[in-house]
Amino acid sequence: MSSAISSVDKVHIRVLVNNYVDPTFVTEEKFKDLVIQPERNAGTCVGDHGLTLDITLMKDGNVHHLLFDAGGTNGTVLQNAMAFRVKFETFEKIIISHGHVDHYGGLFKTLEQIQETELIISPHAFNQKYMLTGKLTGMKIDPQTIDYRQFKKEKLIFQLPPFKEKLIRKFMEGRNITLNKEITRPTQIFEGCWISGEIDILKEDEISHGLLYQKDKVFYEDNFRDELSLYINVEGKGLVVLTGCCHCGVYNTVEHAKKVTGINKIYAIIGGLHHIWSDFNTINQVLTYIKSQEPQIICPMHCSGLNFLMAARTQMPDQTPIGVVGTQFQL
Amino acid sequence: MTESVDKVLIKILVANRTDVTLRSDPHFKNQVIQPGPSAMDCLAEHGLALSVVTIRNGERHRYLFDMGGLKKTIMNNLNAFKIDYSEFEKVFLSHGHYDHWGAILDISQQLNNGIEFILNPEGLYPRFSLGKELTGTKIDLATLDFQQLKQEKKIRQLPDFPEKKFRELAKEKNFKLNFTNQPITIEPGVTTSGEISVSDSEEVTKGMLIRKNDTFLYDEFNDELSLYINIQDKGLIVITGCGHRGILNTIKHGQTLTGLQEIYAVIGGFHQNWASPERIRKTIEQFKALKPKIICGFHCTGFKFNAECMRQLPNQTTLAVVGTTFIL
Repeated sequence: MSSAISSVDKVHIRVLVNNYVDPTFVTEEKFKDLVIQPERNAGTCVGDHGLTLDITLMKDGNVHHLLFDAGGTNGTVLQNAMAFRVKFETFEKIIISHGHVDHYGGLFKTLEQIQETELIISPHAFNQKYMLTGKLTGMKIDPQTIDYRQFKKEKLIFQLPPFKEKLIRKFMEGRNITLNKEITRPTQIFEGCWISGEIDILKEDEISHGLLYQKDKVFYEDNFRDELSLYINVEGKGLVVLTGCCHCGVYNTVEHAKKVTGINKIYAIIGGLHHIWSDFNTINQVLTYIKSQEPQIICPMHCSGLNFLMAARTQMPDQTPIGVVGTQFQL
Repeated sequence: MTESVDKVLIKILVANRTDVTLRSDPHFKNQVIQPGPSAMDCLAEHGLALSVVTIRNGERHRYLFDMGGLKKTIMNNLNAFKIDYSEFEKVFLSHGHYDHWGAILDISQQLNNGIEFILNPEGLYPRFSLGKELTGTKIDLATLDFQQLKQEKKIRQLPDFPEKKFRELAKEKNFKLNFTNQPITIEPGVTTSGEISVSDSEEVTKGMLIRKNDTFLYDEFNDELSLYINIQDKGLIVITGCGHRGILNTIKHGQTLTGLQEIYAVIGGFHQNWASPERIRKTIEQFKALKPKIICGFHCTGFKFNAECMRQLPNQTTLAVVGTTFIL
């Protein structure tokens, strides 16, 4: 990589959808310039199982406005956006992190508000996805052994709502909305901002278990070839890594970020880290890795799980803020 | 209290967190069931609402404890859980803050005619929240310049309870309005708190005001109402809205009121987001002595309290989300 790596001067990130709402949670003194809590402004917000981040990149007085995910299983992004006066017409690109409904559930309502944008989604996001539930939640099982009817009867499997391209196409008619399914390789979309493309898997066992997809009536363990992360290089600070659910794993995603951008300094990791089903051993391993990267901010939200958040707050108290609906990062 | 109920089922209708991936912790042996994908269509918000079902000699009663703040949330979630409005026999309002009654006009329309509403009349006063800069200091309320402070955004009036409209509706629907500060026996083994006695004033939430006959007063939360249920062979369940009066004060009041010392479960809002780490530690120390089998703080309880409680009492503390069901 060249020595003159492109960067942004500043990035602002606002959490529009998350599982947790708390207007009584006040901005913590130790994060006061970097992580600002919405407090009373989130009083009319709703929480929804999902994630959405509103991102503003700033460079030499130029501004780019992106939406990372349009989440919530109930598509609540619009209601929360109102509380923070988000202008939908200015989203130049909308990136969907993967094909689970909690990350695209609000997409259609969002597109209703927009005349012009580029939608970036992996072609693999449109596979039919499943989640193991009940006593099989988060378990690694041989997909060949799935007897769908029996599993369904015993509530051991849940079919996620199908993500259909034709539903998106409906909104493209008569508008200047394009669907880009080509970003499977790492791609720089703006100065200082990259999309991961398919994330290289260095550690196989880091991929989330208990999640499947089906193609031609055959079940496969989901290897998350659809997962897209966002990497933003903030001048003088380092990389901000944004994850939807980080199903490919923190190590894989961050190492991929370093390789793609040529930048080794990690400034912040923000988003869903999917450790809700992990034991403390796994959580500690991941945290050991994160600590070795010396980020200034690590903010696990959405699917990260309370155990992960607790462990991170204990081991990295000055680096781990709490993210709720409306939290703003000024990095 | 010598009477008891056989079983209690509590379902969280409204809370601040939703999560369809949260697993039921096997440690609680089918007493705390997480909703999984059944909560897929649910919303969370800053508010609280619970469905409380008691079972005694095969007889079931369903009560509504609070209603959350936004009508959209509770209506949406009741629909998702397929709970019919007509199943609620009584309504308890835990206190006068809007995140516990915000949906009242809409919900009441749907409820059965003639049912009883139980609320402390002090809950009807206008309520205010002081800004951070004024919360720690003792201000002279007699000379408080409301307009000035409001302009400076140092005070905020919370939504007023729609008393007039609600009374009209209550008349129309023949609701029995039981506005009292006295404890009420709801059925054998089930009682409301009435005004909760304060054993430790440090525990009472600070930084909030009420206006009574044009005079501003610090809110002492005289209106706070909790529910105590004695389960056969298990002990007391304490259900709180926000626990503004202090969660330990609320438990102690329940023990005195019922004469029962055994605390089985403490479920609801504990309002610890503004508490110091020291205060949180003190509260958890007391929880250790009380030995409840289940401690479940949500809504306004805050991350810091839950994390500390989970760390110190991992076998008793559980996380709750919208749709969490307690089978006690």
